[in-house]
Amino acid sequence: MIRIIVAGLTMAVGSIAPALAEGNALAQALESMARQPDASGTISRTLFVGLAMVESTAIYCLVMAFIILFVK
Amino acid sequence: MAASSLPLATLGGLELPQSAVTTWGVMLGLVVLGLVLRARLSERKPGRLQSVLEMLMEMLCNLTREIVRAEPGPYVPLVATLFVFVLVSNLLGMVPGLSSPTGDLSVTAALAAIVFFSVPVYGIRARGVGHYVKTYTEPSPFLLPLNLLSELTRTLALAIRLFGNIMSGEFLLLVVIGVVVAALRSYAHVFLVAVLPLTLFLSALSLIASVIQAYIFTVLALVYIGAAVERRTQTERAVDPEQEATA
Repeated sequence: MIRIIVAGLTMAVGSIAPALAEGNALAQALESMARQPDASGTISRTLFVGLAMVESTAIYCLVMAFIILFVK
Repeated sequence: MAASSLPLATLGGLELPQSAVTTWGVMLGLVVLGLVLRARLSERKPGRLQSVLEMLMEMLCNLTREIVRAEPGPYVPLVATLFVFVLVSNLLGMVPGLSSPTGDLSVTAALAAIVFFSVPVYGIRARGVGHYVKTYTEPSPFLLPLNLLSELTRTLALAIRLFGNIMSGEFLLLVVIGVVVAALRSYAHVFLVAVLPLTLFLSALSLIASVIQAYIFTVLALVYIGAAVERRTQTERAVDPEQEATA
């Protein structure tokens, strides 16, 4: 039971910062796309790569949650 | 865990997971499709599928050119194979009765391992062993352990990202379907009105996620390969200032 609670907490706390960061990055990207529609291809590609990098933190939390849940 | 890592059958103590069958099915299907299409290729009258695939190829070539900043020739076979395989595997979860093989960590780990090993191969081929190894000590030799560590963690993240996204999509659908079953059993049919549109919405969401995740996997593989091919050591920069300016 404690494992489940801790794993849930890991995901909950660990996804706060990446969520904020991804939202921030997306907002900035949308703004620059609105300003320069010509560059939207480059911006969206860089955005995807950047989002994937930011997401890594949440992914490490997911790995930790799995380890907490399943490794005895 | 996800449905695709559950064993279908046991053969003398060896479990045969569903993902093994579906990955081989995807590979077989793609190879057969490729052979059939190759026999039917025509320059004058391209069929519908041929046109779509040509557009896809062109997109991947342009992507490679932009990210790796080199002629896409040696990179496109690997990258296009990864993209098509991951895309078809992700979308396979939409077929009733089947589950995405990429919802199994073993499959995504194998895909990430392919990227992990192809990065030094491309790097060494483009720059030679000495220069490639030197990039690991690049800003300063003290960062060598961190550079090596990042090589491993990014591979891990590549595998878990695809696995987590696809598995969570399937899991959410399963949970919602569980709610539907519970509602049917308890005669609380009012829930169905709320839950059935939700399943539709979640399916659409996981459809979008499937395509985007395939794209992200491909772009990240390209970025890693591009970094290995392009990253220049300081001595190379001194020798070749012209290319540095264009890059």
